Amino acid sequence: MIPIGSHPVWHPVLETLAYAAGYTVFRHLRARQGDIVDEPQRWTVLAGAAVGALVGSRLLGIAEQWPTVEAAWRTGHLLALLFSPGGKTIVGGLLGGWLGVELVKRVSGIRRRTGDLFALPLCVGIAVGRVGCLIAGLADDTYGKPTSLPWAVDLGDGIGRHPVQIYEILFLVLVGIVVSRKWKLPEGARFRIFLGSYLAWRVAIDFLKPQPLVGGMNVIQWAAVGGILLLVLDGWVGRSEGREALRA
Amino acid sequence: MAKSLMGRIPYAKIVIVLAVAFAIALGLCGVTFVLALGRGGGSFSSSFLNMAVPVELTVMVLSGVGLVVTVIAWVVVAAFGLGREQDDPQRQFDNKDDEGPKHPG
Repeated sequence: MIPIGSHPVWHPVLETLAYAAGYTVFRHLRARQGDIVDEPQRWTVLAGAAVGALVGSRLLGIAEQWPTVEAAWRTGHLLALLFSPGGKTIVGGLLGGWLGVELVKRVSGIRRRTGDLFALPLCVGIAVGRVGCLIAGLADDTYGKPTSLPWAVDLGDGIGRHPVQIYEILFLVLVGIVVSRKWKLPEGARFRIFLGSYLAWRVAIDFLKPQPLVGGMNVIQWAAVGGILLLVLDGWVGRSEGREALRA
Repeated sequence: MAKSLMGRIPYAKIVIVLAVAFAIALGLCGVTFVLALGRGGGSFSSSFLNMAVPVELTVMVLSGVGLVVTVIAWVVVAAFGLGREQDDPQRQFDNKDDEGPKHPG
């Protein structure tokens, strides 16, 4: 068993580093590969992503703690929820960010697929953030179920647990390699590969987390399934519109 | 012609900075909560927590309010064309890539 303990103070440090690392990779990629939209439009897309991600991650984070929300509502302490730990989720951030981008693109008339430049930065950012989740340990609510495997981690309670954060970092390294290969792919495909594979991963890996279940899966897994369905639907609509455009 | 003052404000950048500030302050608040409950495993004095909580709350409130105000101002500027140059009837959210595929994404 590998002793790690619980050090929640490092979580916001690693979270900030995650944003910085993701943005650094994004800037590097944009400078190297160029961009399909001009700078003001890219900033508009980024703003849509940031606000959407913030709202999505918080909403799903609150939904994940539904009993706490219900109790806070009943006692009139909804404001106290602002202090509740673990109140942000990556899946909510990704789905909210994606919807935010689609919304600002529709409003501003941007018709190109703008997500490819985000795929690798998101892999890097989430991987760095997951280091913070691992170090935060039991305080972060993202730890794994007990296991007797030799690489189990002890987060301070003397119980060996699946290092689910390390599993996820390894998975993100693989996805990062795939999306950064110089394959000729349709516009937007890299982002869809990242998003689809990450959501599918979360559906699978969250079975190794001791979260309360609703209908056999936790709230994040259900959101990830919904995201995959949306992704399939959007791809199908995109192909239909592409065919119509070719015919016209 | 020069754009109006409202049109020159970099709304997108301000929104991004405020959203990130809010997210980080929210995370810090969560950590403070954990420490206050004694789940963190560390020994933090109440004076540290007394100092951290107002700072985190101030950042959260300022960035949250700033975010809402900036987004509303941005939408108003875009909707009413306050950022237009007088000799350029382009929208604030101009579209220079109409030649691309029609589908979003």
